[in-house]
Amino acid sequence: MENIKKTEEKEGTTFYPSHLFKEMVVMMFVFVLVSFILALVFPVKLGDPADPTDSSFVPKPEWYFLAIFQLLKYFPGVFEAIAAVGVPVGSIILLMLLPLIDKNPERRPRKRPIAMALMVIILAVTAILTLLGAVT
Amino acid sequence: MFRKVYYWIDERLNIRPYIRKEILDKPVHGRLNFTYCFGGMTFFLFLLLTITGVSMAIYYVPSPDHAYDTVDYLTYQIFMGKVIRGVHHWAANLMVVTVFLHMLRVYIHGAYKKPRELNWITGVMLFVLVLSFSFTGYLLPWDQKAYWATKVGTQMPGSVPLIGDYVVRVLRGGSKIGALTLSRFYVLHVIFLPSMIAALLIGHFAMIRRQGIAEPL
Amino acid sequence: MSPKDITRRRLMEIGIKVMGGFISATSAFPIIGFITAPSLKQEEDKWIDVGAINDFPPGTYIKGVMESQVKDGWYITKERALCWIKVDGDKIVAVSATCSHLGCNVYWDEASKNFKCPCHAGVYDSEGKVIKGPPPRALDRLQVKVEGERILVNSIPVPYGEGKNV
Repeated sequence: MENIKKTEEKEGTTFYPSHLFKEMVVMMFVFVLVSFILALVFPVKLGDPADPTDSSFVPKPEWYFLAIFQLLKYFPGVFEAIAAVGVPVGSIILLMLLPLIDKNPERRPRKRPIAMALMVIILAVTAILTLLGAVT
Repeated sequence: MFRKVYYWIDERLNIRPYIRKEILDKPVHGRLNFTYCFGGMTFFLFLLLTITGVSMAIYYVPSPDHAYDTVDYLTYQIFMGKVIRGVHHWAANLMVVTVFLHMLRVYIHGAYKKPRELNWITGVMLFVLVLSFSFTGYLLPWDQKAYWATKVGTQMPGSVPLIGDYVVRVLRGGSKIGALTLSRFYVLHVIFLPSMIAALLIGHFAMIRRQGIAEPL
Repeated sequence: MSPKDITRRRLMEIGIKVMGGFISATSAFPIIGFITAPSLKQEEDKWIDVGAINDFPPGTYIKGVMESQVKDGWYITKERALCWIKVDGDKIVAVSATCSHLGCNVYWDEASKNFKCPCHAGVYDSEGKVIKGPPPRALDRLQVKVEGERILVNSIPVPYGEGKNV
């Protein structure tokens, strides 16, 4: 509670209109980006109808699932469950429990070297897997 | 006109003091940079997705006979069809980006720490919901990509010993991808997940209101 | 507050829990059953015509399309699936095209004499045994029988090495 009070004292502006104005600017940006740039310049396509007898179609997932797609290739046979279920479910559970695991009250990134190093490693591994998944 | 209606309601429910104190005049940090906007962006994308999604649901029929044809119809034959579906597609993609950046910002700032643990946990749940949305939405057009991505995706839990096969069958509504899979995914995508996400969003926002945004570093 | 009130209050508290529990428990069973019922239905096997023997030049694997009328829940439809058929004199081999990894269709690569999966780079030999990549076991086999000039395969795949006609 003390933390919250201290926070409130330092706050300098109100939600309406100044903060809402900022948010509105951001929404404008997203709106223009999505509807006028992405949707018009890169229209979404509808592929060929589903065909269960096709053996040449390579189903690549959307880019945000590419890391798992690539990971599946490295866990042969009985270890498949590790990549298919273990890694995704495990990381979600760890992510959810993060505030209960990391109880260090320090918030500044420079004073949390382990947390920051972990973040960089995980991001790097995910990025590499995603890239490999995209090119192969 | 708006003011008149507002006063008419207020006369009966006395909501003005509440709205003033809790919404309009709620203090907010003055020095928030753009990295604080990813949550708001995500919410705005959620609104765009809801509107375009409901619009497409007017034409879409979730059956193997009609799914592909109705998506084809609503995309290419209806006025603005390409735009509506395009916005839905790109907003969904962008939402994964903004959710990711939002979480990254919160992580780097250590904003998940006491007393905001619960908000981080609801946030992770929302993240899982967003991914479930994109996975279930993928099947609905019933094109090649939809069919094969879903076949592989729903087969993944099958690798777990003992219960795996059962989970796959429940996900698919049978052993194969078919009519029952499509209606299941449709209900998840347009009824179940939206109600879950709405409930969690209310919790997520209420907690921010209660605790305030974590003090900028 | 008299002791009587406390008892009354306690009674109501217990009543709320008991009734709430009863309603949740009795509704959970039919609802979960209703949602999952079609998932538990076992498939019946049937013999599917994939073509005449003459359609399959001997000595190599040729694509066989298994087309059959099925009832998928409420939906009566033509189900189509893929298998690979090799006619070798009197012996006919039918290999299921479903990759044992995550269910993509494998294709026969004539140049390397291997089955390959396009999804996660699994490779099988001409018998369907795993050579490379993530697949956990060999490709399933389909039971084959010949009626007149027609080749029929069974809709339920058999693991490699089990059953007849392997």
